[in-house]
Amino acid sequence: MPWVLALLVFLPASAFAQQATPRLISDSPQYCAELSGRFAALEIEAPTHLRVLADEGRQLCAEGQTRSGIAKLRRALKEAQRGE
Amino acid sequence: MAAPAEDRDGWRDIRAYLKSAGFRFAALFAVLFLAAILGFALMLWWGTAGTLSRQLDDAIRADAIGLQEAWRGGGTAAVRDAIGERLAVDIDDHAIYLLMDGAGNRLAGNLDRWPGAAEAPGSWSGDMVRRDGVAVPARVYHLPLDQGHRLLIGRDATDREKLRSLLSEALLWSFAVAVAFALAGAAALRRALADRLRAAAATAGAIAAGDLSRRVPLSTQRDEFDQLGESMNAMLDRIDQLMIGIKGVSDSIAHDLRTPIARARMRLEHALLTAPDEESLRAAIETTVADLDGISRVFQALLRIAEAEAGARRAAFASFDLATVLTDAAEVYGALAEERGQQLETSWPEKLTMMGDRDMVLQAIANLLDNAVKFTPEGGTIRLRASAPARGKREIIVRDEGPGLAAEDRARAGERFFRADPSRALPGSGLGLSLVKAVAALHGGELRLGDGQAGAARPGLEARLILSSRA
Repeated sequence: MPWVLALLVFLPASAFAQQATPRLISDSPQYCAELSGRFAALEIEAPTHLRVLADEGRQLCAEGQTRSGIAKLRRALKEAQRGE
Repeated sequence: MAAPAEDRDGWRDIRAYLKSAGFRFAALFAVLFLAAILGFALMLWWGTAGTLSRQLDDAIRADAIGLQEAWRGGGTAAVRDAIGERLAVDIDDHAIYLLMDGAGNRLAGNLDRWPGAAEAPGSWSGDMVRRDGVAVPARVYHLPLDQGHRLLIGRDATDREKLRSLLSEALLWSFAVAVAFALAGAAALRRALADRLRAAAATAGAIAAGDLSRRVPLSTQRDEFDQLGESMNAMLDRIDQLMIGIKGVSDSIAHDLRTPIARARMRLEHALLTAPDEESLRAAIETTVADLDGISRVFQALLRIAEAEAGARRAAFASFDLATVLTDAAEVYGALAEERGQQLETSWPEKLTMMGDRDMVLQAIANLLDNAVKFTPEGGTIRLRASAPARGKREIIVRDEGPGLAAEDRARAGERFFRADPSRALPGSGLGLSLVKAVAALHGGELRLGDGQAGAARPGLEARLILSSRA
């Protein structure tokens, strides 16, 4: 059964390679919370539509759609910074 | 057992095909065509994927400069803030940062660990990073900082790699199509060349087989192949004329020299059989030697004519003064004319420089003067004149007061061994004017014959030798 041997050799190697490859961590719920905190500092002066956008982002993060939530929060932050 | 011989023939055919001009032209066409396509592909690559790569590197470089300034201004805290701000507004989610201290602790950024390929400080590398569990390509730069700190700045290169992949595939297909077109074009070119040359090759083959009447057929395209065909046909016409000329000379030699040789033989035989004493025998031998000298002179003249006609002496062309040559000739023939009670009048400029074969020109002038002296009666005048009638032209005119030449005889006067009826009684070989004509042709000129005094009872002959002074 050479293929079984090959599988035994390949699987740990693949797992090791996955571990060795650096991972992006800016799509985590923690980062979602960090962005939410950043927007909160600007929220008082931010226009309504940006506050709505940020709320939508928070909502998506809470629902587990972290990447979409982060994207909305980033847009809200960028627009708010531009308005400052 | 026949198989190896067939293999050898097949191999020989392939080698002949590869060595053929048609194949080489076709191969050159294919190579140039493919080189042009390759050049186009490289330009396209440089203008698209290359531009994208350069833009990516420029963005990373600008980012690195900004963060380095932040490091100098506020150290770790400032860089951490700057990274945080940059990541917070990175809507495209392409930016990659990682700040680590000397002990290997992660201080800021969105990457969980340092990539192995970016260990060398100041290095640029293409690495893979995982996003949502999927490995994606990234372009990163390692910026070394103080106190063992180091900063990784990068961008997600997925878009660039997608474009590269699409472009590579498109170019690969384009190249495959280009190769097919190049090969088809090369084959068509080879066939067209072979078709155009076939007629010329067939004509050359027929001529080699002895059919000198064949000529290369010409198309209506008037292209280079037709020009080659025209040149070949002109060459063949010339060869034809030369063959006719050679045949004529051979006939003339056989006809005109047979008589004096037979006469010499007869004289010797007669003397051998009938000479009463040694004195008579010696006289017969002396006469025969004189006859044979005459035959030898005829051969020499024929050789000189052949030499002039072949243009073999053109290599010996040099600048000389025609006036000096005329003076030399006039000196010799002036004395001869005086002996015969004739007068030689001369006229030419002080200097008449020209390029050419001095000896040949002198021989031609001498032949004309010789004829004039021969045909002018006692008390008559011979005129020798020369001038430069136009730029690059020299004209020598010899006019006598002899019987002249009838118009039909003038047309044949340059033919070898031709002698007009009135001159048959006088000594001569009929080669003098042939040589003059050949010398004129050698010097890019001509010999014109006309009446010395039109309408007179004895019109005389005017020989006008026109030469090119630049040769």
